[in-house]
Amino acid sequence: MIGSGVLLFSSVWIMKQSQSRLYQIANDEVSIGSMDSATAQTLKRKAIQFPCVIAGICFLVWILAGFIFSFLQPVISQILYGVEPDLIECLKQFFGITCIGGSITALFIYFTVEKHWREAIPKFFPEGDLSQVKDAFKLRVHDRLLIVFVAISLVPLPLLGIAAYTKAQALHKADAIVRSQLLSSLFVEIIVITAICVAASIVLSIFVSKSVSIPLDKIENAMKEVEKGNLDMRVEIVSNDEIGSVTEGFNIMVK
Amino acid sequence: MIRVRGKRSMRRIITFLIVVGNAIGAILTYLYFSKITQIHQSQQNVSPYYADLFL
Repeated sequence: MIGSGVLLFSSVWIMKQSQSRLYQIANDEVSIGSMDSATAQTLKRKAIQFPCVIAGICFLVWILAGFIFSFLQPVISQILYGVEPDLIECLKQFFGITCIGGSITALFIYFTVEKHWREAIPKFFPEGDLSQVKDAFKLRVHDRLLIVFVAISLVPLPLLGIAAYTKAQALHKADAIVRSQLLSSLFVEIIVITAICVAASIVLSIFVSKSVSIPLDKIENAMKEVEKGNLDMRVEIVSNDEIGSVTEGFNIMVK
Repeated sequence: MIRVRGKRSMRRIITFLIVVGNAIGAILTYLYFSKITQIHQSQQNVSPYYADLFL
């Protein structure tokens, strides 16, 4: 618990320090127009990559935590107390910390941070020129949907498999009374795993569908305005994916 | 109605999301290790009613 707390707060502190300029612009404390072009370009690239960097740092912290608790701690225990480490158990623990905890945390943080950070993107790009920033990380709509569909379909399967395998191992050694207890606990576990996975799938699906549908709705409304003859209509560009390119093209078209 | 946020709201929101995300991950990891991979610790003492069966 202490180790996890130290890792969490150190990662939050590092992110706060490294991204302070971005927060200043996002909170309207500093204008991007008052900076020289090289600094502005760097900050624009950082702004586009911000959700990815935050999620990436969190995932790295989880990998580090997995390494410490799965490999370093058994080695220290061996040195101090002479307890022989079991490599299979270490690998199982590493898988649990990084693949279960790390991946879910990184996905949740990426999509929630991106949703809120999109409000700040127009402050970095008053002209809406996101496509001018070269070499910035770009999560295309295709990849975004693919990642979420793979995550929500692949995470429950190993969890259910591991739960069933663990209980099958225990059943093999158990007597009649213990077997009935194990079977009833397996039933409860399957229900709990299914409920958690369904809830996580719904939350992730909502975030992803909104990240695609909201910008498209804005373009649709803007097109209706243009149809009525309002050629001053512009749409805020909040991403550098295909939808951002379409929005940028729309703004150029009605200019 | 225009919604006015605090001066440092974005920093607070992002920090809050990071903490919440990590907390969710920590809880799920705890559940994974305590409920899924841990073999159920059943009661080892057989009740007197069944005791004769396990002599």
